[in-house]
Amino acid sequence: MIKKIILPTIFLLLTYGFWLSPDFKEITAGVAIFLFGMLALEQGFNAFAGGTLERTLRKSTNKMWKSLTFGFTAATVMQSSSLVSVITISFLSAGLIGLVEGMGIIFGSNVGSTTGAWLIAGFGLKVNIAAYAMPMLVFGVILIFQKSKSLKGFGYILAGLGFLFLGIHYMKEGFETFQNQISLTDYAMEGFAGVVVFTLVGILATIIMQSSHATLVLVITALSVQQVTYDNALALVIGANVGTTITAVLGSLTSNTDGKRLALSDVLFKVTAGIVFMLAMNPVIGLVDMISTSIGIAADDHTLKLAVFHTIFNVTGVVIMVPLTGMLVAFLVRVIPTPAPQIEKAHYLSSASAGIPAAAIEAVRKETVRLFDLSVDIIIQGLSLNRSVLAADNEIEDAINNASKIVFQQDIDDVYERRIKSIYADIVEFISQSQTSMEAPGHLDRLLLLREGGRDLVEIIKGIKHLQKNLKLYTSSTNSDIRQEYNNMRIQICRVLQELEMIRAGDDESATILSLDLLKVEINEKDIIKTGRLDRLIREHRISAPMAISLMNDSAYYQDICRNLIHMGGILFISSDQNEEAAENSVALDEVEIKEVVDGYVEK
Amino acid sequence: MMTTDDLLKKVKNFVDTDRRERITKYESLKRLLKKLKIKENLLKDKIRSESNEKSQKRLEEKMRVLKAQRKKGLKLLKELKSEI
Repeated sequence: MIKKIILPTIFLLLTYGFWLSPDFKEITAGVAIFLFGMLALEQGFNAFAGGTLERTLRKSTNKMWKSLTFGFTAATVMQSSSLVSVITISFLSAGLIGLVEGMGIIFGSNVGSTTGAWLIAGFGLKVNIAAYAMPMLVFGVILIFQKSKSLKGFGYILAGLGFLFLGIHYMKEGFETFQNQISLTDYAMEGFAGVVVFTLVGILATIIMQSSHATLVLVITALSVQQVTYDNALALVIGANVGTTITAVLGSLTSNTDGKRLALSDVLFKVTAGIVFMLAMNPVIGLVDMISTSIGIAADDHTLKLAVFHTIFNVTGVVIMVPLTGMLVAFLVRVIPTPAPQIEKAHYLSSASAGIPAAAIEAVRKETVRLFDLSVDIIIQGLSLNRSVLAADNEIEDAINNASKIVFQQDIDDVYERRIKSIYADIVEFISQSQTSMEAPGHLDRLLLLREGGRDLVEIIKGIKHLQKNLKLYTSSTNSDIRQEYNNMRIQICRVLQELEMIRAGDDESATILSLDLLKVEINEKDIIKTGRLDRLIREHRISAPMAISLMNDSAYYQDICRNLIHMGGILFISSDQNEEAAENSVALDEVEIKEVVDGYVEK
Repeated sequence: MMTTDDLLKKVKNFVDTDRRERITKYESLKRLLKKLKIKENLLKDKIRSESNEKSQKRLEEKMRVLKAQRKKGLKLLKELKSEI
């Protein structure tokens, strides 16, 4: 219930926010574009999984010092530790590197980003990589349209980077109003309180401007015109370092658990170093003075001293965190545990019943019936229908032919893995365990038959997966002939399911395993190839050759689905009376007899 | 020591079990065929009263399957009867 309300509520709140403030709209659009960039980046790196990039990455990050160097170099070249962080998160999400390697890169990039402070302080330079965003986007999208997998992957990476910058640009624009309201002199403060307040201001300013470099420029400018004291400026630098982690946190929103852990490690790195520096501000100032003097920086050259401080801050962070990497990983794993996948497990298979033949058979039967139920849901959704279509008195043909909305929302691979394969694996394992206790041959046969029924269901789901691709395409086609053919497949599968449900319910005495023979006849009679219908459709140019090929392949899938369903039904829904079951089986028609009915050999 | 009479008795019992099984089979099949006959008669009425052509065609097909099943069942019943 709550889940259903959350999304509309968020939408309403956002809409209200958009209506209230155009800046808010720009900021949220920036966040959305940024996240979209992350997705594109991840998809791009996915294309290189297992290839040269992965090998190169593994080679250049397989030791901590290598990861640190890699991160340092990348951040120096890109002049942005945030960008390196988000790229590293997407590397991690794509499985190209591990968490420890990712941490090494991020720690290294933090030191690498200090080169920016030197450039700004020393030469007044600011490398603006964001200027490349638009060309990246254009080249990226062109490359996405290429057929080559690696070019396409590279396109996604470029477009992803472009979107990241574009998103940051919009966030900055949106925050500009707030940025103009920040006046550092208003908060000038002495002592520890000053350190705390200015660190917070630094965090806030960096979040608003989406760049620690921008904060540094602001601090250096303010310092040069003495708008801010040297001590307060140092606190601002601490704040800028902590605030810059917001980009990594934002980037981890779309990533997997390891990506989130990595973002948290970045936050911990900066916060730990931040707290240490806040507490030891005076000794640190002394250290900065000492280093500055030894490398020939004038005592009053506060801007260059700021760069020294920035470097010490990040190097100290690395010195503190690197030896603690193992502990940090354990901590991160505990704080952000890997979410347990929602996997369906068997309900009826207990080890106690494995040793008692009758109980074991009944447990497996019940579990297979449950598997059937779950499979029916998947099949029905796979055909873009509701389960209500299978109601005993429902006219399936009308319901399907008149359905206007075709929606395929289900990820069949996912539901198969989570709901079918897991239960079937439990069944197979249970049967293997129970086999030893099956003394009477009839018992073992029954157990193995039930296992066969489960395998039928697995095959059916796979068939539906194959069928779904063209069902999506042709059930909404403007060509009424192909649409009808695919609808016929849906109708026939539903008829089999409807009959099975009736047999299972046992309300209708006439619905027994013998009723399935009629369905077998219908499947044979409606065979698009044997009846010559396919040839006629091609001859009369009512369908194209590719459509005909699709129909040929898919009619095989659909027939297999129906046959497997019927076979499974014959195993699962037999009469509870053994004598009755034997009599029904002896009367049920075999392949040859079905063919005779189809060909009309039986008197009318 | 088992006497000849005992042995004969045991053999007879064995034969009887086999026969009993056949009788059970025969009776189950007979019951089923009776059900199928009733079903066939009901279906005949249904076909006659059905006005929808499509539905009628489907019912007729059902009838053909039912007849084939009954035919197979009757043949089996005959065989079983001769064995009893």
